[in-house]
Amino acid sequence: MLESKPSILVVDDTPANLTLMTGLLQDDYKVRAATSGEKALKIAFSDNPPDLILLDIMMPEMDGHEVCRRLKADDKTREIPIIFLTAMSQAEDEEKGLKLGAVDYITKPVSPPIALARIYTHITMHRQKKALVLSQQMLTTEINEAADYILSALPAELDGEIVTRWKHIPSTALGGDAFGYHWVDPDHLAIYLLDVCGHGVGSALMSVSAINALRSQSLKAADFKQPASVLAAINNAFLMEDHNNKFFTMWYGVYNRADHTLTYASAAHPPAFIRTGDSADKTELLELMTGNMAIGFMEDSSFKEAILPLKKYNQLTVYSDGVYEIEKTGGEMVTLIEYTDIMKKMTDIKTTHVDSILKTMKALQATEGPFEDDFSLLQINIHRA
Amino acid sequence: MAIHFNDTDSIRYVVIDGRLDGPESDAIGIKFSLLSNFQGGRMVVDISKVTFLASLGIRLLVVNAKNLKAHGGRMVLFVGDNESVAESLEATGISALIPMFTNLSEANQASLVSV
Repeated sequence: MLESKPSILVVDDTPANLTLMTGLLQDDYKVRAATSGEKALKIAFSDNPPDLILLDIMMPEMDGHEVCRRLKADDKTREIPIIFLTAMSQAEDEEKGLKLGAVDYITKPVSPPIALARIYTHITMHRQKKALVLSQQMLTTEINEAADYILSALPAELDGEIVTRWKHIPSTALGGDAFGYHWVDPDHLAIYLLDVCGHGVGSALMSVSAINALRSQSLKAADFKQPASVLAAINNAFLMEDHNNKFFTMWYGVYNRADHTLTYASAAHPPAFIRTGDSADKTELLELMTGNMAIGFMEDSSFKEAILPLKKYNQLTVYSDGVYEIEKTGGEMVTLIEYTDIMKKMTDIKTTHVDSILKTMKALQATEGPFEDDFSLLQINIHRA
Repeated sequence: MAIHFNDTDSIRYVVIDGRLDGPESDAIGIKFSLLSNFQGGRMVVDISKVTFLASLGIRLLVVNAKNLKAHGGRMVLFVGDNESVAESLEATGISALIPMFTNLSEANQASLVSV
C-alpha cells in the first residue's frame, strides 16, 4: 500500500452512500465526507485539500459537474483527481464528466474490488505526478542558479576609451559558449571567446572552467599577452581525453594600447572581424584568424598568432558559430559567407551593432523560438582621439 | 541521417549522410563507435553526402579516430566534392588527426598506410 495514508473526499447527498464508501475506504485512506457540492468545495479549497475526490453527480443545488467545473477552474484545486460516482451509466454522462476533467467514472452499485483498484491507481498516479513536478521544479531551480553563475562570469560592458557590447543567448538553459576581456596590465587588454562542442550542463561546466582559467590567468606556462602561448597552455590544460571527450574552439586577442596593435590567434574558430580605418567614413572589414587546431585535440600542439597594426577607428567583432549557423526557410543553413556579407553592410563604426546583428539573424531563421546553437557576439570599439 | 557500412577484405567503408549535428550524432554515435572499434582496422568514412557538420559531429569523428588509432588502426575521411563539409573540417585542423581526401581511391590507399 502507499507509504502514508492519502486522504479522499467522498461527496454524496445520500448519507447511506457516504457510510458505505467510508466503510470501504477507511482501512487504507483518511476519509472525509461532504453531503453537498458547496461543502465539498469548502474542503477542497481548505489548507488541507484531499488527494482525490469521489464525486456524486446527481445532487440538489449544485451537481457534481458544476463542482468539478469549479475545481478545475482554479489553480489550487485543478490537479486533484476527481472520480465521478453515480448511478448514471449513459455514455454521454461519462463523456461530459471526462471532458470536464474527471479522471475516471465509477457506477453504482459499486463493486468494491474494482472501485478500490481504480482509486489506488489514480492516487498512485497523482502522487507520482506531484513528485515529478517537485523534482522538475528543483532541477529547474538548480539549472537557473547555474545559468546565473555563468552569466556572472561574463564581463560588464565597458564605456569610454574602449566600448564593449555583447549578446549571449544559450540555445538551452545552459550553453557551451563563454567570453570575456580583462586588462592583463595597464597596456594590454585580453579579449577572448570560446565555444565548447555541444551545449547543456557538460559543455557549460567546461566553458566556465576555461573562462575562469583565462580570467584568473591561472594557466601554467602561459604569457597572457601572447595569444599563441595562451592557446598552447589552455590546449594542454583541457585535453579532450581528460574532459569527457569535449573540445572547444577559441579566439584570443590582445590589444596593446602602447603601440596600438592587436595580436590574435584562433583555434578552429570562425574569423573575428575588424572594421578599421583612419576615417570613420572610409573603413574596411578584415577577417582575423590564424587557422590552428581546436583546443583539446592533441597534446603539445603549437599555435600561430598574427599581429595587426590598428588605425584610428577600429571595431572588433568576435562571435561563436551559433551566430550564423541558422536554418533558413527551405532547410539550408546560413553560411559564413552570407554572415560576412551582413557584417560588410554594418559600416557605421561609431556605434555598435550587436542588436542589429541579432535582429538580422533572427529574421533569417526559418522558425521562431530559440536558436539551434548558442549565440555569443562580442563587439569592441577601439577609437583613438 | 543514415549510417551504413560495407566490409571489403582490407577496408571497412562507412557512409554517413544527412545532418551530422547534435541530436543526429547522438543517434548514430553508438553504431559508429561500434563500427570503429576493431583491432588494427582500416576505415574509410564517406561524409561526402553530409549536409551539415556541427561540432558534435566533429567530436564523433575525432573520438572514434583516436580510439581506432589506439587499437592500431587508421581512419581516413572521404569528402568528395562536398566543399562546405571540407571547409568545416579544415577550420578545426582535424586533418592532422584524420587525413581527409576528395578522391576515393586516394582515401582507400591512405587508410592502408602502416601505422
